[in-house]
Amino acid sequence: MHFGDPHDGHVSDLEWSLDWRFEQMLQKLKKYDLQVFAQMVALQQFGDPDIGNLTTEKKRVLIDCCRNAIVAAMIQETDRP
Amino acid sequence: MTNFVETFPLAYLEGGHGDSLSIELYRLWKRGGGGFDERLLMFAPHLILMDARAEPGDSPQILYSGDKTLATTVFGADWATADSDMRGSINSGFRRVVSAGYHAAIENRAPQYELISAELPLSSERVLEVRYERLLLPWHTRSGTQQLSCYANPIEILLKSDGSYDSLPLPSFRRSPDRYQ
Repeated sequence: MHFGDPHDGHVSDLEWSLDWRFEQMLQKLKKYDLQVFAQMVALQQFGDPDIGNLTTEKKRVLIDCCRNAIVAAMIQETDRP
Repeated sequence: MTNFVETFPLAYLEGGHGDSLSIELYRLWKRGGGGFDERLLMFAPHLILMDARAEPGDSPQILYSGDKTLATTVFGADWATADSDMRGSINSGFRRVVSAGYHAAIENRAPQYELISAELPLSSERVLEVRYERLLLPWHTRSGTQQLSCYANPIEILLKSDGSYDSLPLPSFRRSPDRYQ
């Protein structure tokens, strides 16, 4: 990796990219008020509902596990009159 | 085996009858007006959370399944992790049989409490015959996002394989609220 170039290597493997995606996810969780959902996932996956101080690997897992819930919330928002 | 779904009146739960965890969940839902908040955390291992949308004749997409749910018990811990297509792993015929309650809970924005008896094919040779109580609760967040929770309390699980039946042990779900985790 050279200076975090997103076109160098697999983007999903780059730590800065993961941190960025995690921050994006936290913003969406807040927007759709789904922090409790993420806490449930964290409790199940890591045995602790705290999502404030996760390792890189735990962030990766949480992103994967929360993706569908966020997409569902976005579609609901679009469908709302 | 005849597949059937019987809907119970909510007065059954309001009167304190039925499974203890169902009663606690229903009371929590009623006290909070269906608001999705951190009080649900203590029930998380026993809940499936689903999208509040579903195609006709199908169940909603599964977003989360706790470690102690009937579904995780049947399909395994790996099924309930990551972003796997949990719903897609469940036989479509079974999903159709149990789908009406989901649609009723979503459309009416009201709890649905049912007794379900149905065959759940696991493969061409192995079929589960499951009988369980199911409580569906529609939740909403302050932002308007809706999710449906599903709590299933198994009554009997039989595994039919090569023409013979085995009774499977039931998870111990009947616990006091402070021991739900």
